[in-house]
Amino acid sequence: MAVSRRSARPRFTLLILILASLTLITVDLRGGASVPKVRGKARDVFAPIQSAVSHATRPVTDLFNGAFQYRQLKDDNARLRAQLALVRAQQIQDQYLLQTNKDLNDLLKLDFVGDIPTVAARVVAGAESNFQLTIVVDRGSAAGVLKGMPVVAGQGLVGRIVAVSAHQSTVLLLTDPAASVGIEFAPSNAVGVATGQGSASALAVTLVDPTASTPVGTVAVTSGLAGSPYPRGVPVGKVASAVPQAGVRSHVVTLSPVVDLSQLSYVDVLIWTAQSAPTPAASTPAAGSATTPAASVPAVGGATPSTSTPGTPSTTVAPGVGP
Amino acid sequence: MTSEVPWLRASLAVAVVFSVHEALLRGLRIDGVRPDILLGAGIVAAIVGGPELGCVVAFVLAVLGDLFVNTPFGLSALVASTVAFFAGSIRFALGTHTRLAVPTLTFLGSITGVVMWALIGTVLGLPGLLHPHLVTIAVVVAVVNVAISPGVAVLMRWVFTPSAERSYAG
Repeated sequence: MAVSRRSARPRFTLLILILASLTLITVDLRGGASVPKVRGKARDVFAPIQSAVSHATRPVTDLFNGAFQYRQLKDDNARLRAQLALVRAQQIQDQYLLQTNKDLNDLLKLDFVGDIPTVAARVVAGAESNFQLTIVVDRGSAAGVLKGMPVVAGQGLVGRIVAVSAHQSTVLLLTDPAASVGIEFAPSNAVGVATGQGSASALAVTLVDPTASTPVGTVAVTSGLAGSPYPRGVPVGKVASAVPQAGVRSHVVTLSPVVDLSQLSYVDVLIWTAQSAPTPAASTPAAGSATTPAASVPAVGGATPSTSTPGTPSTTVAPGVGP
Repeated sequence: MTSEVPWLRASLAVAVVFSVHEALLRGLRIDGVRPDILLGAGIVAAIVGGPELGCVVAFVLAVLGDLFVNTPFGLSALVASTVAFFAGSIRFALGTHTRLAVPTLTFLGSITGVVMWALIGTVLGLPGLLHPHLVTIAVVVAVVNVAISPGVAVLMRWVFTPSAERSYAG
């Protein structure tokens, strides 16, 4: 009898724990406010300890990181040396390109932030999970940051806020499979949705018009169409290649992101949400660029699992971020 | 059970492991993978202290870990407690004289835990979890957990020895 009780009790305990876990998962997935609140509080409580320990142990951590990433650092060193030589050779040409770039920036509205207020934030941690491409920044609700706000770096879009505590926020990077963004190719006004594919593979983009022309070098910017969590005109990536698909008129297009998501130190959080955005009529986009009916564009969003439409061309972006 | 378990020691052990994971190892990445010693500590706890107590420790550690990520809350707890329970069950089915039990079961349990997490996450609708990099994640997590398992085993013996002796020692 005693043996029977002893063997049954652990299974009963496991059953209780499994039921507790399933309850927690259900409560979280149903979107209740309690779980984010508890998470935010926990992060706020633990943040000072994390910062203090992180500061104290940084030399050791850097040593380990350097040791474990030696091969990558060596490769990076060689690659950067080659790039440096190339850059020096192109220095003269860059003078011309700078002027051209300035003109294109004006055309493409690459001064994308405009009058949207921003909050500068420091990246304090990489992905907290091996299954999400995120970064943690040192600004939270105390600085006016809200869930859903876009995050940009010098050249363009980084991602958007998915979790906020008082003094920290988590940013879901563009390259995460759960991230998607509505894009627009500036010259042709072709629109579509770019979706992350994780670090090992590439971003996929679904074009509304599969036959749309997207030449190499074309800049893709956020479309900012109705309901989009991103304002219009934020650079996302450049077309790196456009390969025709056999038997159809569409192309498989490859984009390179404008921001190196693996080298982020500081970012800007745009104090902007879809709710605060002006109506499409009030936003008065550039002539010729607002002709795409919003209804024809797939819904875009951040963290919803989703998205690509079978049979449409896919676009890939080299992510450069480990999970 | 309440009278047999040294909850104060268990709480201290949980606090130590969790602090090491969230503070000390927060910035460490090996081939782009963040070590998950919470999973490893839970498995070792079950190997040392038995499946029942071990899976409770694993559950608590994983719930704490879930507070700091944005994946479904409780998913890690479900995986960790289940894996720890079976690791502990196998350990005590093997007997008391298997020296390699801790590293072997920690390695296998960690790999199982990572893969199980990805599979259940996929079932719950999380995209992009089942990709080739999952192998790297599983191996790195498992190797790191094996590396820390002797230290964690010492800690868990300190926690569970009185209880383990009464319950399992022959």
